[in-house]
Amino acid sequence: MTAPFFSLDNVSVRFGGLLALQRFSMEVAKGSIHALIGPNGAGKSTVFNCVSRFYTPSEGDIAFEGRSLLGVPAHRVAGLGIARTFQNIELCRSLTVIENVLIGMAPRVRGYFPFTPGFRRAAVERQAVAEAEALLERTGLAALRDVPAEALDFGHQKKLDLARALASKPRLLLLDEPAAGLRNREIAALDALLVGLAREQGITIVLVEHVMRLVMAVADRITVLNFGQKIAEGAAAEVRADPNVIEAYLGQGSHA
Amino acid sequence: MTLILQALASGVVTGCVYSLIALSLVIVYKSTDVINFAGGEIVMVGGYIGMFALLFLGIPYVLIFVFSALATFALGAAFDRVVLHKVLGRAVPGQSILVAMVIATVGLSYVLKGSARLVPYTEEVRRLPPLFTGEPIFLGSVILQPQDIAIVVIAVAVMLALWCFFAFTLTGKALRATSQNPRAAALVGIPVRTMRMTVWGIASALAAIAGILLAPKLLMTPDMGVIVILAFAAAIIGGFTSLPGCIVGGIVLGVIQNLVGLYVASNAISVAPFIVIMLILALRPQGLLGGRVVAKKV
Amino acid sequence: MFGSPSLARLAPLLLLPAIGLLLPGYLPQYYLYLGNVIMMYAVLAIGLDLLLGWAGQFAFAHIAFFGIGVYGTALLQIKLKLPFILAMPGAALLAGLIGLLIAIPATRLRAVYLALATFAFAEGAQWVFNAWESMTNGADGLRIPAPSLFGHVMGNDPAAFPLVATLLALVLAATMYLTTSKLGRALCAVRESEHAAAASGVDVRGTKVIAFAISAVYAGIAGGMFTLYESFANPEVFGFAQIVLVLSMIVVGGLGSVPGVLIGTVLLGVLPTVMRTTMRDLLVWQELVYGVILILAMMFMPRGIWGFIRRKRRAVRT
Repeated sequence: MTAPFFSLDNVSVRFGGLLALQRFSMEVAKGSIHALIGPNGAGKSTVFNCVSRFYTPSEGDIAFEGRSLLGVPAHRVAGLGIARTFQNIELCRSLTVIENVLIGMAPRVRGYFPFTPGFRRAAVERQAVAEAEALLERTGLAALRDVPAEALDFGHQKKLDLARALASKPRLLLLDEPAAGLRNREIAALDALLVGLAREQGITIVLVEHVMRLVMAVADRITVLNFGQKIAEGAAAEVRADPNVIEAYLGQGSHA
Repeated sequence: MTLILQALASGVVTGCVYSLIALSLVIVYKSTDVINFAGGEIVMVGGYIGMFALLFLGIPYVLIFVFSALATFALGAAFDRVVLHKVLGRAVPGQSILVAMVIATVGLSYVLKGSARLVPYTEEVRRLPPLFTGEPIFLGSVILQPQDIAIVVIAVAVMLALWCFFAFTLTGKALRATSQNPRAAALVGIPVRTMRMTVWGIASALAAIAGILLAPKLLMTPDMGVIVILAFAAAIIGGFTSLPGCIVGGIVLGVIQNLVGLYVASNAISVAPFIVIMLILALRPQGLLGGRVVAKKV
Repeated sequence: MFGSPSLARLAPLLLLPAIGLLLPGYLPQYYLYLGNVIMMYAVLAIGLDLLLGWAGQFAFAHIAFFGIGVYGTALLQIKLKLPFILAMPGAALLAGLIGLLIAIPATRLRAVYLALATFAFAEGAQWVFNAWESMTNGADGLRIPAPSLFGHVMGNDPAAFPLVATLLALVLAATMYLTTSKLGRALCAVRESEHAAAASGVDVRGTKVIAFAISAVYAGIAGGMFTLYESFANPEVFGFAQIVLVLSMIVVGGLGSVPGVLIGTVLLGVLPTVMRTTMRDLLVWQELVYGVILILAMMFMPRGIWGFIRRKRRAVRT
């Protein structure tokens, strides 16, 4: 049996006395779109923060493409092929759109030491800029190339967060509430974008989301978290009808 | 043994004064995240105002504390209202304006120092006469001047008054609320701007009282403000965000200084605070009483 | 902040050594002194700005590295008989090494604590410069030997001016390469959002440490420049007032921008001298005027002069 593309295996995360995640397991198939849902405070962002290696689980393992992530420091995660966006849109606010994308490309741009003027350095930079501009075209941000991120409106900032994540050519993309705050038309565009990334470019996507419309439309498989524990998992229809899920969202005494 | 006790005792005395200045710095930091680089200069100004009140206005010694505290309260509050409020108003969400505010306090320190130097009286190094003169008091084998006892008593009284203020008065509680969560405080109707002014006023008054207590011991010059470094050290030892920590830190620092002077070398006294700062920040950044350093939620 | 500086952008830097060679023939010694001082401060200020403005690390140990640069360059010439051309880089590298060592524990600290710890280190260093009398001659001051380069002896302002200008040009060129490089972007990323930086593959801790080291090297180079035109090194120079001065230069000029820092350096570097000459009888007003300028600058241009100019330009464009 081949190892799963991406998996969390009995991961527990403790903050002082609080157990944010309790023996949480999840397997994600390659090329699929997998949604992670649950009420606020369920622990969804904690999962992402573990994968990003901002937190270290007190037990369990996280594996990607057959190797454990637990020994990897936070800044090497992107180089392994995993990128993420943030719930709070963590952007470099005073930098321009293209500079933000260039930062996202960091794992793929050679060289660190700047005091080497030379054809190679100039060429590397030129190529990076060209790739960044192509990415801006594909995500519809090309016209805003030199605008500082702080001057963008909310929808464009979210796009930039995504573009930054895509810049490293990830094989696994973690999206933290990509639809939050978007208008219906933008959600439809996001839907198409995600499907395109997964089906055409083969990028595996895990998204944490509250906007059920989007989740039900794009997700191949859904995992439901509540109070740090998995309470349901399966295809959209199964999960929607699951009484545990309904109770978690609507409280006791509710029925479909 | 006597030497150690003597070092302890005089350490406690100077430490009390450091504590007051440290309190002044920390209440500003806790409420506004601003490091007040003019703290030492306010001490100096408070001391001079007290001396002026005593020697030229004929105000009785006990009242010069009140006089100077009120004057510097107004000074600090005015600085906040006129300068810092304006700087803060230019802040853009998502970007910190703290650096600009800190540089503004640096500006204040130069303005205060420069103004003090303008007054011809300050050209000569002066000494404020002590509050109490008289025979030294013997506590066991330890010798203390009456002035020293007065310093401790006054400092403790001020700290108690401050504690009562924060714990029991409405304004005090409002101040604590504002420092913990300004937005929530504004939402429940606390006038945040007035609170900031009050904090600066109180901090300045504390510094002024410390200045009058220090003046008889040190020589008064416009450059007295360098003492602020010791107050920073005291605050760090206690835990930069803890008010009781300032008190503990000040006393600990005063004692350490005397012990270093006793056992190491007298020219090491000036570097001791810095070594203490580095050690504490390397080993236990939250100091003796500070809370755990909290990381930002992602 | 990307790409490589083109020849067109680098060419103007050649003006500096050219001016350096021409002016000593025309200007009186006093202006050359001023010029040397400002050029040295420019290097010192840019170095601090890389750490504070670019990387967002509020660390104030800078002056200590400046001192290491000054005493290091002088002592390497005195004790080891090294020529200036080896002594200065040696001292700068030493400063960088110590900066690296300090950075390792320092980068574990947050904002206020980082500021206070590095400040304490700077004060501690000044104490060492005072107390280590066998090396530095303590408060009496160390006589700096007149450095010579290819037979050209310096140690006074006109003779030093061309080399100081050339060093500044080299530093500016290096800065242009640095700020447009991947490392330059990494510095900004660390400043703006450590989480986004880490998730994008930037080694946050490592970048901070490198920023410290590079900043210290700049300070060391400034120290070397100091020895070109000054004949005495005194621990007084490496104290609190100096830290505050350099900090004011970069904040008033504009954190995180090289043109801004240069403007701030010229303004606040020239200001004390202008005050001294125009207010000759009013020396005692100097501190007051300086303080008022700082306060007014922060009230009306808290992002510095360059930040103000940038905002006006942007407003015009939209």
